[in-house]
Amino acid sequence: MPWLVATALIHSVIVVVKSDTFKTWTVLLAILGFALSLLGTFIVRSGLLTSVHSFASDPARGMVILAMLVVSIGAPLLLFALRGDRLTSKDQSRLISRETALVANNLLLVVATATVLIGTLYPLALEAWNGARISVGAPFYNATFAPMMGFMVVIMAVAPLMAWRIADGRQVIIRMFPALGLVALTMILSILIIDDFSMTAAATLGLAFWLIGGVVTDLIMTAGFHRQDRALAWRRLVGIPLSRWGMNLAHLGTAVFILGAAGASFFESETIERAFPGDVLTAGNKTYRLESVMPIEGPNYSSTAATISLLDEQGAVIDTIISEIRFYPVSGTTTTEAAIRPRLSGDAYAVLGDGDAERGYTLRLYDKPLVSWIWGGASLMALGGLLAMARGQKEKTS
Amino acid sequence: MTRWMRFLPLAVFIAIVAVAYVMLSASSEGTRDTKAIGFSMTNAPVPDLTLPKFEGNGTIALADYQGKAYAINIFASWCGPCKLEASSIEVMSEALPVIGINYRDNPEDAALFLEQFGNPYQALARDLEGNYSIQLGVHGLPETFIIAPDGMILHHQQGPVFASDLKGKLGQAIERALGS
Amino acid sequence: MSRIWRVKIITFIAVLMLAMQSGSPSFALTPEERLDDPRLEQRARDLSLQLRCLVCQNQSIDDSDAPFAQDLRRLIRRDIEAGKSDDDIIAFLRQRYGDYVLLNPPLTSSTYLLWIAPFAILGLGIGIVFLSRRKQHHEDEADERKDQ
Repeated sequence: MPWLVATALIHSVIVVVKSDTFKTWTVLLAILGFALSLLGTFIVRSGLLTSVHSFASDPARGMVILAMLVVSIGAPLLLFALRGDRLTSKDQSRLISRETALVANNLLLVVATATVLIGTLYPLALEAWNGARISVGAPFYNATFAPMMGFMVVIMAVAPLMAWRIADGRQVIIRMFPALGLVALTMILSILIIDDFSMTAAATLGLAFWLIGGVVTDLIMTAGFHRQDRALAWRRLVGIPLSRWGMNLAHLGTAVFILGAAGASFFESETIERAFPGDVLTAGNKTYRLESVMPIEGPNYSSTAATISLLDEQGAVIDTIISEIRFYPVSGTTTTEAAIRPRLSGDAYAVLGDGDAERGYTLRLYDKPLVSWIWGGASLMALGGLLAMARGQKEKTS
Repeated sequence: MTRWMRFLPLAVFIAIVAVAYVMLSASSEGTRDTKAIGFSMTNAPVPDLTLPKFEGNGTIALADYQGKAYAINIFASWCGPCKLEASSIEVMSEALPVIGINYRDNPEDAALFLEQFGNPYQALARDLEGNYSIQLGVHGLPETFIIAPDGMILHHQQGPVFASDLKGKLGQAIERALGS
Repeated sequence: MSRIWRVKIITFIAVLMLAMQSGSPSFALTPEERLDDPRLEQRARDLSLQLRCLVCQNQSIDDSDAPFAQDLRRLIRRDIEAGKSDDDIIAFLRQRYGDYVLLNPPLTSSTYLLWIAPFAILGLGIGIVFLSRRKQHHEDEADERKDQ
């Protein structure tokens, strides 16, 4: 929750700087971001939320934290309520404008935050009201949170193309035609190529490419490639302020992230089987062979290690990975170490389960396409953020 | 932003604090047990189960106990708290018949357990894989059910039965079952 | 990578797993538990993802290693093979454990508020934005008229 609000805050601050509006709202976002961090700590540490084995849940501690919350969140919110009107700004933007796009961004992020908060606290409130106990899990968030984020991504792609105050809506749409074409192409291809097709997978891919299209379009427009002088445009491309590069890099990172998450969610293959040494198993496009399962002694643990080879189409060994089940005698805990081979195209992932020499060993083998793009996308987002923080010497406010 | 809109976040915050306060108070008073999952078969009829006997080949059918008040106690040798409640179950068995279900256990270990802690059960069944107990909603041993003569589950307790429980809600349920 | 990003990543993944394809991993399922018919098995997996593991911190019975989760997984598969519908199985479990066992909160009189809230808040937000816009423009026009 805090980072959703913080993202809204980053974008809201841009509006304050560029067009001198949204000041009150931005202050509120800042307060809320901090408040949600504290609230999160409280929820987890106070024993308030139910779980059968909640750890260290002491209502007395919870009360102390609650008291701290009342002071550290209540005071700013009260101050905001009483004195918030001191910040004045004039919003002179029209309906179709960069301001509106950022309002939409903020709105969607804040409502998404509210959704998560409601989903988290509703069971509690209901129990306080009439003792009924319900659970709110992934299905709820998939139905509510996900569509909102989808909308946000749609707007994310076009917002950079919109001018401050008044934007030419028709021109923006025309300029996004190529991106739209890319999206259509992606969705058609996914219908044709993917055998286990789902509308959700196609929509997710479409969203990612819509965003990529938006980023590319913005760079092209800002550099001026659509005007005659190509050479000039290339020079302008390099000269685009770092902050704008930062924005586009961060948005591109989001698209890469979405693709990675799509790969992990929709295109992952799993094989769970009992295997003996020498057996060859496939998961998706990856072929594995269990070489051996042997006990080994580590520095502070004893483990059963499965050595697994990754094979190519001809059956030659590409790589060897090891999955272990470790037992740490001092603490008495057992952990499972997965064997992961990360590559840009996807990860090979193998986990040893239980078993023995007679019955065979349970192996969970995976082909996880594009998983590293999740990390890569996040890195791009971070890099974009760093660039965006760079302030050029010339600071224009339009 | 108008005045009432600026007060909205504060109002929401106060509401959240109020709920949190109520719930935390309930937790510290003991009226709210975060570990309980709201087992809801209480006041519902006990499922018509037929379980294999612990020893030998026969079966035990709960339907045979219709018309009598009885208790069901789920236990296992690997269950620590089960050892704690052995004496209470003994006391309970003097009031009404107790059917024991040995849950997911090794027969030898279970036999040793019964030798060590006593066998208060009028009938003893085994549930090697938990398939029967799951129908009762069993999720964490030990669990004890009090069944009325008409087959209704009057009370369910998850966790060891202590002397205080025999004087408390569990004991009251036993009396209700015997009385009706 | 800071915790913020990890949380973001994990949340985003959870968010994007809209349709549970056969690709969703389960670290708890053993080969022996699985049904032979892949369509029935997929039904079992989808159903398992909707049911809460009652003895765990916050997992579905598909994710959990607990024996209780295993019992429920087997129960579901037995019922599916016996021909019971998803609704029957959910009703059976709901009767025993209450609504708490459902990760997808059912639409009952208690939960209308829960389900409507996100969209209601969105509508409220849009309404507020539009109204304050209009108010701002009326003020602008009034100011302009005053200046003239």
